[in-house]
Amino acid sequence: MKGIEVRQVTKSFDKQMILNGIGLTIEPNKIYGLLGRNGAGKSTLLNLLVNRIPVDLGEIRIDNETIKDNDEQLAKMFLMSEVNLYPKNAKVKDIYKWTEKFYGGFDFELATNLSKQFGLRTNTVFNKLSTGYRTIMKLIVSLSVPVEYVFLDEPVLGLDASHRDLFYNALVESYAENPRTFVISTHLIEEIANLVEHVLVIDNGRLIIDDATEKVLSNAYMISGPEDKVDEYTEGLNVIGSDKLARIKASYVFGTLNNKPIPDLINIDKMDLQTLFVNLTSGGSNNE
Amino acid sequence: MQFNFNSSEPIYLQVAQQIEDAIFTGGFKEGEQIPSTTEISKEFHINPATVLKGMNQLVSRKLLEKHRGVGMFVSNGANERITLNRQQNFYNKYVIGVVKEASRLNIDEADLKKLIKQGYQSL
Amino acid sequence: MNKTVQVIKYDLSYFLRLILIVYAWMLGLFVLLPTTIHLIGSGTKGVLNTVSISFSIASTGAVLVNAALLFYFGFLTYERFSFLIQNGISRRTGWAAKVVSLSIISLIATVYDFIISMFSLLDGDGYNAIPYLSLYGHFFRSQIPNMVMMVIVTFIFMLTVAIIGMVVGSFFSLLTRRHQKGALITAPIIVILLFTVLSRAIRSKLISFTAIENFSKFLIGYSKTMGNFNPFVPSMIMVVLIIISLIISRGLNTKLKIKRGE
Repeated sequence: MKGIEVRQVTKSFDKQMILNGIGLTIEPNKIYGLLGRNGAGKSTLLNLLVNRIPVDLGEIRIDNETIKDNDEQLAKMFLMSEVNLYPKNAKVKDIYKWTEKFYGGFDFELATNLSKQFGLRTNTVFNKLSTGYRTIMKLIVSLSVPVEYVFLDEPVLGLDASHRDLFYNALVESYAENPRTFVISTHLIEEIANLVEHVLVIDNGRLIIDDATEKVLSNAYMISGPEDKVDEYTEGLNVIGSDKLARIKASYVFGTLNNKPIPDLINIDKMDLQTLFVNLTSGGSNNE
Repeated sequence: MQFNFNSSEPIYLQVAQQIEDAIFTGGFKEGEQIPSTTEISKEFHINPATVLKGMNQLVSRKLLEKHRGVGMFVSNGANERITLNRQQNFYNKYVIGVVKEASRLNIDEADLKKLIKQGYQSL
Repeated sequence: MNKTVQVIKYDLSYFLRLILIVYAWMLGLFVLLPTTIHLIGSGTKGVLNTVSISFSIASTGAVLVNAALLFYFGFLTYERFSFLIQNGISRRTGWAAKVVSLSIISLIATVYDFIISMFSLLDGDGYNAIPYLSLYGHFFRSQIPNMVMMVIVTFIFMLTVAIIGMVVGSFFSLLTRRHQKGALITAPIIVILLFTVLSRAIRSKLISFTAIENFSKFLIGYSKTMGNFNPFVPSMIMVVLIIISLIISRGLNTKLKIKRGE
C-alpha cells in the first residue's frame, strides 16, 4: 500500500497519555487538515510520524516499511515544526545547502525566489532571525525539499497577514506544480478550510474525525429558531453544541437529519469548518 | 471574477456558480479561455482538486470545454444555455419566495402585481 | 550509504571549523601574545628565540588540546541529532557516520602528534621528551617498529577518548535539562568523594597501595619478566574499551528523541 499507516499508536509523556490508540492512513497527493485544541496531541502525532520520538505502542509504516532506522523512508517526509532543530550558528544559506545534501535535492530556484519575496536574507545566522522569519525560513525549506509528505505544524506562527497570504500562494502553486501530500496543523482554520481535502480532528488524544472535508461538512448543520421548536426538532439528533440568545437558540448538529417535517419557524444552515471544530472539541458543553 | 465564499454550499458548487455568473454577465466571453485551476486556487486559496471539480461540473453542463494541453474555454452557446436554465429555475428560485413573503405581509395578488410593474418601470 | 557520506562531510566541516577556531586562539595566546610582550619589553633582540620557544610550547600543548577536542566532538550529540532527524537521517546513520568522522579526526590528530614527536626528536630532545617513547620506546629492538607502534597506540588512544566522549555525550543528551544541570554539579562532587574514600581506604589499609600500584602497572603494560613496558597490553585494553563503548553508545543512540518544549 502506498501511503503512511498509523496503527493503534499510543504515546504518553510523564505518565500522561497524549495519544490513545490512534489509527489513520495518510494517502499520497492530498492536502490534510489536522485539527485539535492545544495539547490535543497534534504535534506529538507529527513528531511520531517522522520518528523524532518513538511510539510507546503501535506502529507507523510508510509504503509498507517501518520508519525506524530507515533513511529511505524518512527521506520521504519533512516536518516543519514549532521547535527549531537547526544549528543555531548556521547561516540560512548553509541550512539550504545541507538540506540539499541530506535530502539529495533542493529547489534552490524556488527557495531563492521565496526568500526574496518574503525579504529573508540568506546570509543571516538562523539564531539572529526573528520568530516570524524563522517560521518563514522553515516554510521555504519545507516547500523546497523533494519529499512526498510535508507536515506543517503551525505553519503561519508569527506571520503577519500579508506574509500568510504569500505563504498560501506559494503552497498552492507548489502543490499544483508538484502534487504531494501536505498535512497542515493550524489554529487558523478558516484560512485553510478551502484548501484541505481531508479533515483529521484529534481531541483528548483520540481521533474523532477522519473524513473528506466535503463529507464532513455535508453532515454539519446549524438549526436555529425559537428554543422550544429547535429542541423539539433536534431531539434524537447528534447535537454537539448550542448557542442561545433570549429565546432564540442555535443548535449544532453533526450527523444526518431525520425525515421529520421542518417546522416553519426553523432555519437550517450548513456549518463551516471552524464552527464545527469549536463545537466538536469543546467537550459538548453548551455555551448558554 | 469575484468570489465570495461565505455561503454554506460546497466550495466546488460555489466555484461553478461563480464561473457561470461570470459567463452570464459577460466577464468571460464565449470562445475565450478562462483562468486555469492553479490561477483560481492560488487567488482564492482553494484546493486545485476542488476547483477542477467545479469546472468539470460546468464541462458536463456544456458551458466549458477542455482543450487538451491548453486549458478551459467558454463553449459556444454557453450564454444561451445559462439563460434557458435560469428561466426554467426562475419560478422555483424567486417567484415562490416572493409570493410567500408577500402573503405573510398581507400583500395581495393585485398589490404584488402593482409592485412588479413599478419595479419594471424603475429599471 | 550516500547519506552516511554526507553526514561525515557535515561532521568534518563542523569539526574542522572548530579546530581552526581553537588553534587560532592557541596561536594567539601562546605565540602572538608572548612575542608581542617580548617586542614591547625588549625590542627585536632575541625575538626569534621567544617565537621558537612559544611554538614548541604551543605545539606540545596541542597534543592535549587535540585529545580534549576529540572528547568534545564525541560528546556533541543533541543538536547534531536534531539537525539530522529534521533532515530525515536515521539515528543509526547518524551514529555510524559519527564513528567514521571521529576515526578520521583521530587519525589526523595522530599524524599531527607523530610530526610533533619527530620534530622533538630532531631537536635532540631524546625519547624521554615524548610520553609514549619514554615508556614503550625500547619494546622493539629497532626504531622503526617502535615508531609504527607509537602511531598505532596514539591512534587507539585518541579514538578511545573520542568514543568515550560519545558515550558520555549520548547519556547526557538523554537527560532532561534539569537533570543535566544536576549531573554537571554532582559529577565533580562524586569524583572528589571517590578519591576521598579511596585515599581513606588506602590509609586505613583496607586496600593496599601496592595493589593499586600493581593494577596501574598492569594497565600500562609493565611486566617484571621483560623488565619494561609492553604497549600491546594498554592497546588491547583500549580496544576492548572502544568495543564496549561503541555498543553502549549505539544502545543510547537508539533512545535519542526530540525533547518537548526545547
